[in-house]
Amino acid sequence: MKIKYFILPALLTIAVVVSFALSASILINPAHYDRSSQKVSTQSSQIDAKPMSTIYSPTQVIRTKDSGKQYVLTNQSVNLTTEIGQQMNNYKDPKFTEVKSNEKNYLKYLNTDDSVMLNYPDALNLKIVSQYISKSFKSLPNVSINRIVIPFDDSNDIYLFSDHNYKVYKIHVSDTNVKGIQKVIEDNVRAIPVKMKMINHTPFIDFYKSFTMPQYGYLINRTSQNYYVTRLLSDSQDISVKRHRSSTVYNDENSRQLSFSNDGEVNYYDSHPGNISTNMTQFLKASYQNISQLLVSDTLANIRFFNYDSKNSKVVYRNYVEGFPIFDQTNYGAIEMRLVDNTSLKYNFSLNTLQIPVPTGRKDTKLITTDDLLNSLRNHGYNANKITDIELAYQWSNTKSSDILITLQPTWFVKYNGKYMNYTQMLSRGPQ
Amino acid sequence: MDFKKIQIIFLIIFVMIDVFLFSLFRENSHLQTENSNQGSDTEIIKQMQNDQITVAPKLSTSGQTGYYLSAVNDDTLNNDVNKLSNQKVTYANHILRSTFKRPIGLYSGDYHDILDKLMKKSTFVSHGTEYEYNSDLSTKNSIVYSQKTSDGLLYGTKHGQITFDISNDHLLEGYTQSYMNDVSILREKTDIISPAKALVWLYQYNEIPDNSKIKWVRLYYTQLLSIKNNIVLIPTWVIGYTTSDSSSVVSKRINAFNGAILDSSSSTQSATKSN
Repeated sequence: MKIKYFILPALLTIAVVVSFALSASILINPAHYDRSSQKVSTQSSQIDAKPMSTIYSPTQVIRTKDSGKQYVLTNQSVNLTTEIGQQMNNYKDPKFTEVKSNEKNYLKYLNTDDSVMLNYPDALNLKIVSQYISKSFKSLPNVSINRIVIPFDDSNDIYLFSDHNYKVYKIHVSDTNVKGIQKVIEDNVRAIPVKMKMINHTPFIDFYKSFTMPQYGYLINRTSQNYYVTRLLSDSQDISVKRHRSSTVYNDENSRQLSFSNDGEVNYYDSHPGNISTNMTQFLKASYQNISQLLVSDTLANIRFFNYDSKNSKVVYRNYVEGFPIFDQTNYGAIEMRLVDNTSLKYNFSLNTLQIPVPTGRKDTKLITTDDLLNSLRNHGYNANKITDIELAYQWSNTKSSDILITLQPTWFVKYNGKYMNYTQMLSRGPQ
Repeated sequence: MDFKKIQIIFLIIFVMIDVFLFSLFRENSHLQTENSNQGSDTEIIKQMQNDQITVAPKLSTSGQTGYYLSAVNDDTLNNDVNKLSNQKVTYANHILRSTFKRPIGLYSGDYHDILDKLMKKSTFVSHGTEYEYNSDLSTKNSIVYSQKTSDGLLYGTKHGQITFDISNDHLLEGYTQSYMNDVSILREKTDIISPAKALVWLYQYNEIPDNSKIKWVRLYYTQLLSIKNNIVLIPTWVIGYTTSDSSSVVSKRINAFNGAILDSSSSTQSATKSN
C-alpha cells in the first residue's frame, strides 16, 4: 500500500524531469546547429581565399647546425614556412616569459646551436603571428616580434625575438614537435651558407660565400578595369567616368575614386571608409580582409606581408617567389594600403599580376657575397651608414619578345636612404 | 483522493509533453547531422539527380595539393627508334606510330597483364617502364597506358600516352606513343580544388547534358600551354561521362587550380599568344 502510494508521485517527477531535460536540449541544440551551419557556409564561400596565416607567414628559414654553421634553406617543391607552420599548429598551453637580453647577447640567442629560425620581413604582433603558429598563442601578451627560433632539444621551449628593442621571449609549450619540423627541413632542401651578424645595431644575414639562384619566368595577366570597378564601387549608383590621356578615373557619389593609369597602376581612394582602427593588429587584420576581397585568389597565393609603417599607418605586401620578395613590379610592391590622416583609405596596386609560371631554360644566376656588395657600394661613393637593409630578391623585368611574359632575376636589393634599389643600378648610377 | 486524480492528470499531460518534445528532439538532431555532414557541393551533386545525371564515383570534398610541372616535347622517341624490333615506325609531330610486322597474340589472360610484362622490354616500346595501365581510358579494342610523373599521371594522346590497338581476334597490331621528356616541378606545391567542386563547377557551366552518367573524376596533369617545345602542365580534374545517346565516354577538363574549364582550343590560344 505504501509503495503504491509513492509510485504516482515518482512517475510524475520522472516525467517532469524528462520534459525539462528534453526542452533544455532542444533549446541548446538549435544554437549549436545554427553556429555550425554558419561555419560551413563561410568555409565554402571562402574556399579559395588564402588564410590570414599564409599572408602573414614568415618568409625565410635559417638552419643553425650543432657546429654553429648556418644556412638559408629553400625548397622548390614545397613552401617551407607553410609546412613548418603546419607542424606548429598543435602547440598547446603556451607559457610566456621574458628572457633578460640586450644588444650584446641578442645575437647569442638568435644563433642557438641546433635550431631553426623563421624570419619575418618586418615586425608583427603576436596576435597576428598566432594565426601562423598556433591559435593558443592568442592569449599571450601582444608583443611585436621579427623572428621565431625553435631549438631542436627536448626543452619544449621556443623563442620569439624583437629586433627593435633586443627583447627575447621564451614560450614553453607542451610539445614543440621537433621531429615533425626536422622532417620538413631535411627533405630535398637547398642550403646557402650564411652567418647572422650585427651591423648598424640590427641583425644582418651575411651571405659570405658566393652562390647561385635559379631564374624564373611568369606569364602575367592584366586584370580588366571592370573587375575592380565592380569589386570596389559596386554599391554605388552614380559612377562618373573621366578619360584622360594617361589614365581613366571613376568617381562615385560617396566620394570614392578609382583611377587606372595606362601603365597598369591602380589607385583607389575612399574618404569615408567607415571605422578603421590605427591599432596595428586591427589595421593588419582589416587590410587582410580588404586584399582578400579585392584580389583574384590566384594572385593572392604569391602575396606576403612585407612591411608595416606605424607612423603613416601603411602596410605593404609583395609578391614572393620561393620565399624571396619581388621588387620593381611597381615602385611600392604588389599592394600598398594606407590610412591617410586616420580617416581616408588609399590602396595602390597593379592590374598586372603573376599568373602562370613558365620554364625559362636559362642558367642559374651567380650572386656575389654581401661583403663584396658592401665594398663595391662603398667604392662607388655610397655611405654604408645609410644602408638599412639588404634583401636577396627577384627583379621583375619585362621581356622584349612578349608583353605578357616576364622574367624574375635574382639579385641584391639595397635599402638606401629609405628606398630599395637594385645594386647593379646603384653602381651604374652612383650616389645622387 | 482528489489529489491522486490531479496527479494522474498531470502525469498524462507530462507524458504527452515528453512524447512531443522527444519527437521534436529527434527531428532536430537529424537536421543537425545532415547539416554537419554536407557541404554545399555534396548537396548540389545530390540535386544533379533532378536532371537525371547520375554520379557513380564517391567524390571527396576536401582540397588537395598539386604542382605546376614543366616538360619538354622533344624527339627522344625518334632517337630511340633503332632499339625497337619487329616494328614498322613512322614519326611526325612528336608522335610515334608503330605497326608490328608480325602481330602479337594476346590470348592468355587480361590484355593489360600481358602488356605490363611486355612494356618492360625496351625492344617493345621505349621508356615503357614510365607508363602505367589506365583502365578509365581503355576500351575493348584500345588499351591505354599513361605516363607517370612524380605527382600523378599525364593525360592526352599528344602528351605522354601509349594507345595499343587490338583487333577483335586478340591480336596486338600496333600502337601510338607520345612521350614528355624531363618532367620537373616548376613551382612549389599549391592547393587545388576538390573533385566534388570540379564536378559541381562543370555542372554549373552547363557542360553536362541531362541524362548523363558520370563515370569517373580523376586528377591528371595536362598541358596548359607551350612555349616552343617547353610545356607547362597543371593538375586537372578530368571528368568522364557517358550520355544517353552513346556509350562512348566524353571527357572534360577542369583546371584544378582555379576551376576554369579547359578545352583544347583555349590552350592552343594561350600558347600562340605567348610565342
